Amino acid sequence: MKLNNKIELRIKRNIRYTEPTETGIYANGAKYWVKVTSEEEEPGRGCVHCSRCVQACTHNLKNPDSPTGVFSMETVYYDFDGNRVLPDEGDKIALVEKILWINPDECCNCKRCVKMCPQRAIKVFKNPDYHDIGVALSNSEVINNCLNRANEKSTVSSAHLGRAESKLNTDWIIDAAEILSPQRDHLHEYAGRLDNIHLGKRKARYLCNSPIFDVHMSYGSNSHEAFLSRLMASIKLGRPFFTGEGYVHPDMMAASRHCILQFGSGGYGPWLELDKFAGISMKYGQDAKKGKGGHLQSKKNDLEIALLRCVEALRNLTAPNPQHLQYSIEELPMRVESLRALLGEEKLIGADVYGTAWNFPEIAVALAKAGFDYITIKAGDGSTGAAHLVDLQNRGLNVVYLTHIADLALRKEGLRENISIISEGGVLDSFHAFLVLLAGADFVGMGMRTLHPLGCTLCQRCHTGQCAWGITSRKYGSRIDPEMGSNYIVSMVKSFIKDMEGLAAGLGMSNHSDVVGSRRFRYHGSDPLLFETFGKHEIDKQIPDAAIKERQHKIFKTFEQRIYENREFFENTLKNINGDSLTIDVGVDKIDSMALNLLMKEAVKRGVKKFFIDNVVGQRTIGTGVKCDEITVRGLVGNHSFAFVDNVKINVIPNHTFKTSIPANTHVGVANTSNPKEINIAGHVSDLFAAYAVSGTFRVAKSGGVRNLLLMKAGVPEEWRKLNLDRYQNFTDEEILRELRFKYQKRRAYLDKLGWNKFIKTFEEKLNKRKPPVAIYGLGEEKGMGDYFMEYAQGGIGIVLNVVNHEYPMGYYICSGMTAGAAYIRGRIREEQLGVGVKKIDYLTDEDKSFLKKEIKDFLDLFLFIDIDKSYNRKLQIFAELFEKDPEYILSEFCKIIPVN
Amino acid sequence: MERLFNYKPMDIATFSGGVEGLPKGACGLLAAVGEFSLNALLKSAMCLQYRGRTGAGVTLKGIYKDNSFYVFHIMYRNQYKVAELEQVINSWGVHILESQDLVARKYYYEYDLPIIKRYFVTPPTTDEMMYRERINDDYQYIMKHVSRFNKDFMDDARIFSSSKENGTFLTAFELTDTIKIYDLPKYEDEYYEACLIHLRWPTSSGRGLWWGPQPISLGEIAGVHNGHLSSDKSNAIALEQLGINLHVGTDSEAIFLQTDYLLRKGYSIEEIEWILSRKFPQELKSMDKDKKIRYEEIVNDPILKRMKMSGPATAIVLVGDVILGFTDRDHLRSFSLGYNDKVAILGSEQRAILSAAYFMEEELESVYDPDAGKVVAFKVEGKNVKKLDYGWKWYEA
Ligand code: SF4
Ligand code: SF4
Ligand code: SF4
Repeated sequence: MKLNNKIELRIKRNIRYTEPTETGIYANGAKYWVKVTSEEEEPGRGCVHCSRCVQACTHNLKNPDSPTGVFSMETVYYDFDGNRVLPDEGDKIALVEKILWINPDECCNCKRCVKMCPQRAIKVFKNPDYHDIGVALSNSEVINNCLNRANEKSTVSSAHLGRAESKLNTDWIIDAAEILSPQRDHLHEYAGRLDNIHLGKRKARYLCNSPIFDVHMSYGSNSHEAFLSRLMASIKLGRPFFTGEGYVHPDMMAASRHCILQFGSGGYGPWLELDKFAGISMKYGQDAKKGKGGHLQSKKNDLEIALLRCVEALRNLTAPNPQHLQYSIEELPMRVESLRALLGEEKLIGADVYGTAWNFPEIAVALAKAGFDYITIKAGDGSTGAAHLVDLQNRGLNVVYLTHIADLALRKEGLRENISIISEGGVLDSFHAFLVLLAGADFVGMGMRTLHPLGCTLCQRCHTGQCAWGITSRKYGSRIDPEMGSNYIVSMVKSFIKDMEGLAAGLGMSNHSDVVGSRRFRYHGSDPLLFETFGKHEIDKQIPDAAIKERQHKIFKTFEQRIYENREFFENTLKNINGDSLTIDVGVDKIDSMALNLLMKEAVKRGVKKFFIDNVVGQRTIGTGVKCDEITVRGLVGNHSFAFVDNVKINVIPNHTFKTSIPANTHVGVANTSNPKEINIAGHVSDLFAAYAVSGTFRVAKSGGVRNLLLMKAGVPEEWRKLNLDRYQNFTDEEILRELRFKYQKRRAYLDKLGWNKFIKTFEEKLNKRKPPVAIYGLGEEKGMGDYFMEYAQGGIGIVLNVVNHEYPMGYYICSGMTAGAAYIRGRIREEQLGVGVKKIDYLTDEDKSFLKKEIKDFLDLFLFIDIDKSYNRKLQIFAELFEKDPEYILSEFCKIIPVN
Repeated sequence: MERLFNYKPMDIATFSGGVEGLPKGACGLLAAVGEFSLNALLKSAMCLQYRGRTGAGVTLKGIYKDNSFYVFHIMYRNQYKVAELEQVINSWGVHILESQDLVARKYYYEYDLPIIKRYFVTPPTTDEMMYRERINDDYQYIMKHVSRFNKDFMDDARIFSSSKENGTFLTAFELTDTIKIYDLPKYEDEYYEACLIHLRWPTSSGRGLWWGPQPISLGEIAGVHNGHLSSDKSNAIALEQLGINLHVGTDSEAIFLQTDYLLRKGYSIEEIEWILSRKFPQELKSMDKDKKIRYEEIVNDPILKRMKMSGPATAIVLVGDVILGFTDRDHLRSFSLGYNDKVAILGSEQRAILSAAYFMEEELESVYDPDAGKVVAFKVEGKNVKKLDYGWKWYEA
C-alpha cells in the first residue's frame, strides 16, 4: 500500500459487536461477555487495535474452520469524500477505519485475550442475560441444560464442572507439635523431608524426589508441547511420568525409562520397545467419568496421532468402557502375570481405579493380592479431556476418605508395605496434598494443577481442540515453550513441596514415612466421611491382627523362587539345547505357566531362537516377553499366551499322541496386543483372540469365541522399527533433557517452515505405508464365530472362510463400533446381525479378490498338511478342491463389512 | 501343643464373614457327571487354583444314596454352640440318628476351623409335619427349616449340606487343603455320579470366610458360580415375591434357586435359557414365529422378567439328577465342555477338562466352549449320563 503523503491520513478506531444471528428462546446469548475498552472510555488503557487478541482467541464452536475466534479485525479505507476504496488505491485513501469485531457468543472465558492484550483493554465476565434466569432450585444451569438438549446441542464438556466448593478447604486444625514433641525446622535442618521415596515396594521400584506426581494425560489429548513440558518437568523433578493412553512420541523415547505407559481400554500404540519403559499402568477407570471409556474425537485424531496410536486417522476413537482382557477380580492376577512375563520383576505394574462406594476396600485388596506394584486412586472432583455432562455431574468420593479406606484395608490384610498408593482427584494445593499423605497415600497426583502453569484457566473446552493456550489443541501447541513450560511446572511443584515439608516439620516429623497414614490433623466439619477419616479423638495406631500371612501367598513368589522350585526341570531341559533350538516337554502338568515362561527366557539367554513346546495342556503366558524367532506348541494353549509377542512365528498343533487327544485350541486373550510375524492355530480360539493386535498375520483353522479381533489396529509405522534406543541407555537425565530439546527444536523448525497443515500432511505417506494386521478363520463344525467379531476394530482385516459351510457363520453385533478396516465373510448374514455403524457390501472389487485369493491360498498351504481331526480334515480338503477348481465361485460367496463413515 | 494354647474360638465376623464376607463371585469351576474318577477330577481342578484364592468346596452326588434320611453337614463357630443348636434341630420334630465328626482332630490343630459335624436325620411323620407347619412333604419341610436355621443362626452355625444323597464339603482355604481336611480321596472307590468343584476368589477381606465358599447347597440343589451379577437385586426380588428365601444371600444362590424353581415349574431347558440368559433383541427377528410368541410371553412375565442374569456369569447347577451349565449372553466369563458317552465334564477352562480327561484316560467325543448364553444340560441316573436336548422338561422325565 503506497500512501500519498500529501494527504493527511486519518485513522479511526472502532469496536463493534457482531450482530446476533438468531432470536427466540434458543438464542440464549453469550455465556460470557467480552468488553473491550476504547481509548475514550479509559484513556491509557484503551484498545490500540494491535490485533493480538485476534490471534489469541481460537474459540469458535459454530465455525470450527474459521481462522478467527471471538475477535476479528477489519480495516476499511475511505477517500476524502467518505467513499469506500480498495486498500491498493493508495492515492485516494484519506481515512482508515480499524474495526475490532467481537462475537462474544463464542467466548468460553479462557482469558487468553485478556492476558495477551498489551493495553489490558479486554474484560471478560459472566453475562447476566445467560446466568440470571430461573430460581435457586431451577437455575440457569438447569434451564440452559434443557434448552441445549432440546436444541440438539452436544452435551460433551471437559475439565471438570466444579459446581461446589472443595470439602478440603475448611474446618481443619493443624495438629502441630508442641513441647511433648518439638516442632522442627525444615528450612535449616533435616526435617519434614519428602524426598527419597520409592514408587513400588517390591522388586520394581522407582526412586522419586517428589511426593507430588503428575497424572496420566495422553499425547493427543495434550499437544506435543504440553506433553513435552510435563515430561521434562517430571524428569527435572525426579519423578516418573505417566503417559496416558496415547503412547509416547518417538521423539521423546530418549526419556522412556522415566515413562509409565498407560494401557487404556483402547490399547492404543504400537506396543513395541516395552522393556525400555519404567512400567505399565492398567487403566480400569477414571473418576471424572465413572464407568466410561475414553473418546477421542475425529478432529483430534490427526495423521500424526493416528500414526502413533496405530489407528486410522480422522475417525472417532472409542475406547470401550471395560478393560476387556480382565472383566473382574479373578482375572486380575492373570493380567498381572502376563504383564510380569512381559516386563519382568523390575518394572512397575500399576492399576488406575476410581473409588466405588460399596466395595472399594475389597478392590484395593484384590489389586494388591493380584500383584500390582501400585494403585492410583482416582478420586472425586477429578478432570477429564472429554465427557458427557451427565458423567461429569457425578462428583465422586473424596480423595482423603478413599485414600484412608484403601490404606486401612491394605493394612488389615498385611499388604500395605507391598504396594504403593497414589491418590489424585480434586487436590487443589499443597494443603490438600498434605492431607492426602496423612490419610495414607504415598504419593499425590495433581493433573489440572500441572496445566495451570502452561496457561490453563479451566475454560472447559479441551474436547473442542481449540484450546487457546495450546494445551489441548495440537495446532496451537507451539504457543507453549516446553523448556519454559517445564520450568514453571517445576517451580510450582517445588513450592508446593516446600509447603508440605513445612507442615511436616511443624508436626515434628522428619521424613515421608512419618507422614504417610499418620492422620495427624483434626477435622471438625460436618462431612461424615472426612470426620471418619480425621475427626475422631485418638486414632488406633494399629489394626489388630493384620493378616500378614497373605504376603507369603504364591502370587508374590519371586522369579528366583519359581526357578528354584523347578530347578531340576530347568536343568534337565536346558541340557537339551541343540544349536538354536530347544524342545520343552511340559508333560501335561510337569511345569506351570510362569515357570515355563521363565524357562523360555533362560533358554533365550543361552542362544535359543526356536522352541518346540510339547504336551502342553493349558499353560498360560507362553511366549510373552520371550525374544525368539519361532515357537511351536503341541497341545492346548492357555490364557494370555503369545500376548505382546513381537516378530515371532508361532504354530499351535494338536496332540494325538495320548489316549486323550489334545486339540490345538486356545483359551481367552491369546495373542492380545501382539506384533507377530504370523500365528497359526490349528484348532479353535476362544474369546478376545488377537484383541488389540497391532500387526502381523493370524490364522485359525477353526472358529473364534466372543470379541475376536477386538480393537485390532492398523499396523506399526516403520519408524518404530528403525528406532535405536540402546544409545540412550546410559544417558544421564541432563543428556536426556538435551536430547528432548534437540528433537523438539528440529520439529519446531520444520513446523515453522511448513505451517501446521502442511506439517501434518507429511505423515500421510508413513500412514499409508503401514501394513494392517490380517486374521483369517476357517471355522469349525462345532460352532460359528462368537458375537462382537472385530468390535471397535481400527484398521485390521478379518476373514471368515467358513470351510464347513455354516449357513449363518457369524454371531451378533458384527464389527460393532468398527472405525476402519474390513471384514470379509463367506456365508449369509442377516441385516440384524450387523453391529452399530457398519454396512454390508455384497460384491467384491478385483483388489479385494486378489487379496483374498492370496490369503486363502496361504491358509490352505498351511492347514491342509496338519492332522486336525478327521471330520475337519475332510471338509478342508473339499473346500481346497473347490477353491482350486473354481476360486471365483468361492469368492462370490463372500460379503464385505466396512464402517459406514 | 503350643497351637492348642493359642486356640481361640472364631469370632462371629470371621465365622460368618460378616457383611463383607458375603461372596461376590469370580473363581474357578469344574464339574463332572457320569462315570469318572474323583481323584483324577480333583487333580485336574488344581490347574484352576490360580483363578481362586481362599475358599474351596466340593459336592459329591450319590455318596449318601440309598439312605432314607437326610444328611446334614454343619459347621459351628465353636464347641459351645454344638449342644445348643443340636437342640434347635431336635425341636423341629426330626430325629437325629447319628452324629459324627466330619473332620479328623489333627486338622483342628493345623487350621483355624469351625467345628464340623455330620448328622443323619429322619424327618417327622406326615402327621407331625402337618400339625407343625401344614406341610405334607418331608423334603419341603426339611428345606424350610434348614433355610430358617441358616438365617437365624448365621453368626453361629451353617448347615452347608442337607441332601438325601449329596455331600458338600467346604473350607475357607484352598482346594488342596479342602481335600486334605475332609480326606476326600477316601471316596474314590465309593459310589458317586456327579461332582461339583469350586475354587473361590473372595472379593472381600479374605480370611475365614466360612459363608463364602461354594458349592452352595440346599437339599438336592447345589451350585457353583463364577461372576458377579449386576442383576443380584432384581433376582432376589423375584424369589422374594415367590416366597423363596435366600439363606446365604448371594447373587450365586439366587441363580441356583431360580434354576430349581424353573425346572420344577416345568420350563424346558431352552425356556430356562431364555429366562436366565435372554437373547439379544435382534435375535428375535429370525426366530420361529411360535417360539417368538412363547419367548415374549415368558420373558415379559413380571416375575420371570426379573430373573435374568446380567453381568458376568458362568454357573453350573445340580438339581436332583440334572446338571445345567450357563453363561451370560455377553460371555464375560469362559465356560467349556467336554463329553463322551461315559462322562461329561464342565468347567471354567478347557484346560481343566482336557487334563481331567487325560488323568481319567478318556477320549472325549467333543470339547468346545458353548456359545454365549447357551445352556447345556445333562441328566445322570445310576452313573449313566445323557445330554438333554433343548425341549427336555423336568416332569416328563
Ligand atoms: S489485544 Fe487489546 S489492544 Fe490489541 S486489538 Fe485486542 S483489545 Fe485492542
Ligand atoms: S476469553 Fe478466551 S474465548 Fe473469550 S474472547 Fe478471550 S480468548 Fe476468546
Ligand atoms: S486445557 Fe485449555 S481448553 Fe482445557 S480447560 Fe484448560 S485452557 Fe481450557
